[in-house]
Amino acid sequence: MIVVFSMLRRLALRTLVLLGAIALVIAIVYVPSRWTGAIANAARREELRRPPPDFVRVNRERVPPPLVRFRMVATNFAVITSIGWIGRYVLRLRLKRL
Amino acid sequence: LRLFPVLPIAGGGGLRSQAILVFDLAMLVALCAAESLRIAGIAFHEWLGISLIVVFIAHLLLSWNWIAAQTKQHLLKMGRDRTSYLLNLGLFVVTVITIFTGIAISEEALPTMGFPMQGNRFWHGLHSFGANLMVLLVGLHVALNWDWILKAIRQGYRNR
Repeated sequence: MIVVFSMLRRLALRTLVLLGAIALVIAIVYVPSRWTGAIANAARREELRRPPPDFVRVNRERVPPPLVRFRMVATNFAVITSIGWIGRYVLRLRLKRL
Repeated sequence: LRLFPVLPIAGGGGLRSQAILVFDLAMLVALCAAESLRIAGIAFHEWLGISLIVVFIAHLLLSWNWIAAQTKQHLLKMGRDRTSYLLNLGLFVVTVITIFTGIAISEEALPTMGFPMQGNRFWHGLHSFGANLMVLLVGLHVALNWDWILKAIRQGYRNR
């Protein structure tokens, strides 16, 4: 029982550290964007050229046939694997195990 | 073992490697699906992206020993070969930004939960840029772990 609690405590601590790191990254992106007014400026510009919401929605919700959907996922997978192959054998990237 | 019934039975580290391989492969396929916005509509894209947060944290927790050791090493000893560490750190930052901006421009998932979002072009642009950069960085992340992936696959075949 003590071992289980010890493991859960360790897992919770690690998760908290990760969440802290995630919050730090979000703050680093969000705070300067807010201070420089980039978000407000983008919103102001957008008001002037916003397309009708229904048009955007209908366009987004168009779902292609199953084969095309499969091809989309397969293409992404092939691109990532190709970059991986190039990274390993051309750029000679390799993880150093401690 | 019961959590991963498709895995062949192997001893200790082998089984763990194969379990992680299956988990990571599922994560990669989910990411490929999330990267294709039109695969099943915006709602599917958003819910899949949100569910990937848990998977992303689990992936980092599974690699905790490497992350902790490398972070200590690079904080203490400067000037060493840091390519792999920086690539992984970059992927972490880009993933967080992509998920965060995705939440900021949510049109279906967050409003359904009672949080109406007012995304704009700034977050849209950052989200698209992050998603494209993520494909490149995930590819390089695969490159870094290429040897481990091949080893885990071979081990799986040998134990079958």
